[in-house]
Amino acid sequence: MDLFRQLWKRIPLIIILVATSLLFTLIGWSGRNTIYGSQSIDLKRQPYLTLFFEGLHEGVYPWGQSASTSDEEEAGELEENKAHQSVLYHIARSQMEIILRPAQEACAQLLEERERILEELENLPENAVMGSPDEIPEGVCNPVMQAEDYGVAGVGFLSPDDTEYNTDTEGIFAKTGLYYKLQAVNMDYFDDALFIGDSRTVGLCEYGGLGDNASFLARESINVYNVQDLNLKFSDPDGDSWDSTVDEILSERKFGKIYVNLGVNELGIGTTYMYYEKYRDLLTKIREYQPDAIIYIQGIMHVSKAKSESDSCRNNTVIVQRNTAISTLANGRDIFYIDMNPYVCDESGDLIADLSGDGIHLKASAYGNWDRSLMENAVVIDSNRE
Amino acid sequence: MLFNSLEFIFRFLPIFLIIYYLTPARFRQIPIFIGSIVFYAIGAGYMAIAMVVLTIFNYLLGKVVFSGPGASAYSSRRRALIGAVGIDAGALVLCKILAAHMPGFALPLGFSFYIFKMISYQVDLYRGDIPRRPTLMDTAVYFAIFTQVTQGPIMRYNAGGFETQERKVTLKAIGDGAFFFVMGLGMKVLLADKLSILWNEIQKIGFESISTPLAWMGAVGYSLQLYMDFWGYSLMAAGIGMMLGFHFVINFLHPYWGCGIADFYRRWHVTLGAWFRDYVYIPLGGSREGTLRTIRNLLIVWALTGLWHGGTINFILWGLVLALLIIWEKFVVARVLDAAPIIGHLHVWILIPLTWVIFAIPNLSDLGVYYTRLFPFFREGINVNPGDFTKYLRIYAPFLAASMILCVPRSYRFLVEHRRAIPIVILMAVVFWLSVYQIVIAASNPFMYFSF
Repeated sequence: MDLFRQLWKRIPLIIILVATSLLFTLIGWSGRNTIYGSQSIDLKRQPYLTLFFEGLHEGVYPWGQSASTSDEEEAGELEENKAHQSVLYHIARSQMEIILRPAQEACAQLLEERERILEELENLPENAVMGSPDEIPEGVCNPVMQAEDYGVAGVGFLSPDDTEYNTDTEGIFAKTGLYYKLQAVNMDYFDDALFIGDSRTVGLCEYGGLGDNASFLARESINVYNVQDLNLKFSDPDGDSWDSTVDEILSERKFGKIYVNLGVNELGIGTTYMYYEKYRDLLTKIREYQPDAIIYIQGIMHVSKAKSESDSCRNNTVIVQRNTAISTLANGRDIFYIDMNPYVCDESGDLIADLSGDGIHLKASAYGNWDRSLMENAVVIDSNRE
Repeated sequence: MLFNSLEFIFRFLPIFLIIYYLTPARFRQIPIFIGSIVFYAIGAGYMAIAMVVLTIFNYLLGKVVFSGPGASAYSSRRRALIGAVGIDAGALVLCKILAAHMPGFALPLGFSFYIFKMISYQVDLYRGDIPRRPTLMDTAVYFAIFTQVTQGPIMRYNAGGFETQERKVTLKAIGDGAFFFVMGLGMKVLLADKLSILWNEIQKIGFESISTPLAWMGAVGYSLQLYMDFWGYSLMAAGIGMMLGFHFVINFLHPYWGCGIADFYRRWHVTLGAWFRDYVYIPLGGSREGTLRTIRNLLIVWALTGLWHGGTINFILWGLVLALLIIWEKFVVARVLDAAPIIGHLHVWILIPLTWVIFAIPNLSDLGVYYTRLFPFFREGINVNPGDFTKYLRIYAPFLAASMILCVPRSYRFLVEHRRAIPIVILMAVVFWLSVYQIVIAASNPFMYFSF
């Protein structure tokens, strides 16, 4: 006891640090297979207490999961049940309809449809084309801009080249087979537009020319995996701004166009396929809340050559693969893929170095290029025809 | 391996300290030497061989240079000194040039620091400042010791502690060492690393588009970032040194409380300033040979100081601007500074951040743009967002404020004087765990610092 008192007098900080280290190590060690089971640790470099701190960061506490998580789980189960029931109901209903609906009525409908298509063809507006739903005609979406592959992309961030992306984002507009081509528009086109994105979109809001027309819902460092869970900053065209979530804004307000730009923070997370799946989730959510909005998938902006040839995740090889994947979510009817890269990249597909201070973001003075790409690649739907 | 890494704090340091304390005092050079080589090799890989080769080379020539009992003839001592200093300095210059102009070549870890120690070792041997003939082990420990090998301080061989019998380990010193280590860790991880994001943001926006208030906040933020980073590192090094039985090494003496630019640099990176004073400025004649000679000597010393920091043009410009400011203070406004010290303080608070901007921006045309944002009289900004200052102030105010408080000598002294009082002990424990938390999060998510 006397020894301890002597030690405490001379090295109190070390005693506290050693004691707390042991405590945190014990917590990390005892939870290594249970609450921290999903975390990996390299014991050569990291102590067990790393688990405890990583857990704190992710909301996993030694005294159990946070209360909100279990609530969420319950709510999730409830939702799942509801969804299950509703699927069963729909299947039953459509079967009944098939059996009961008289064949005659179906025939009449087909004829009517044929008439309508013929009429459409006769009065086809300038910016529209007909096409089969299997293949989107040229000019309806931007092509994905390609880029030089410098061979540094980490395999863990990519998906195999033959990965199939099951696009099941059905169109709402132009059910007749009508497609609208991208065309140039004025600033006021963006009066009912919402831009959702990360720091690049924050930059567009602060330094682009659309801030007085469009609304923005963006925050630095967000990605497609957490965009639906976090508070973002909403800025309206009047210059007011406040914190809000995707759910809140989409359920409270109505937009004519919704632009999504996400993907740079995820370059080091997961594979292309995982990114693509979360992206589709997000589009589905947007579509649920805003059935009438045109959705724009904005291709991820490329990075500079210096980055692209040295960084295993933030390089244009990964970006091009991911853009190719999300571009398949466009249906050319109400979801369009647009690509700003031709406006800011050189012929190798690298972001022009002079336009960027860090190789990843546009400099404030270069946002005009992005504005221009948006204004020259928009869809105008003739509402009288729908 | 940085001091502020999990490997160092929870692996290397505890294992090293236990072995060190268990080793009988007279054999403790051995764990220091082996530990330092391991430490250096983890960070620098095969460059550790280069360090060992240079160590043996300097030891062998140093045997000839030595001027104490049993010294060699004057002419051979002189030749050996010129040979050793010439090779050491030549290697440094060559590597600096390669690092600046050859893509893919990086200066070996800590090279600028241990080469300077090697040069001072030879000169001190020659001048007789090292009274006893050092052994190979003592020499190797002096050059390679892990507390100083990567970022200094550039201690002198005779400053005490490099020979076993000069070190005295006490419990109190160990406790105090831990205190300084934690304080330095907090400065580095909780303040400097956070402030570095502000400078990153400014580069991201592009200098031509920042508002003038943000340009000033950037200059101040960058200055504080450098200070917290380097002072924090020096405190960590000094703290570990104390735990091994060394005296506390002063490398920063409240520079932002200095009165004038010259005074600032007497307090900033003290061991480097003293090196240039003792091995360049005074041998050139210092300030004793007339005004013109003094001005020449100041220009030489500061141009070399600039080059030491980096091979690009902005570092030379930075050094020369400082030389001119010091000449201005010394020969033009010296009386004014004596009469009104506040002017000296204003020099430090306004001119020093302006010189750090030169230090920060390697490209001269970018530098010009930044200065036109600081002084927006000649050219307007492009696409400036006037709200940028409030946006970043809101985010960075706590870090700026905490760093500024630490610039005041009294606040630092208060912590040091009460370092064994329970509230301060608890505060330091909290600082330690907050820092560890930050390090863990940054390590498990290397993209955090660069989240877009």
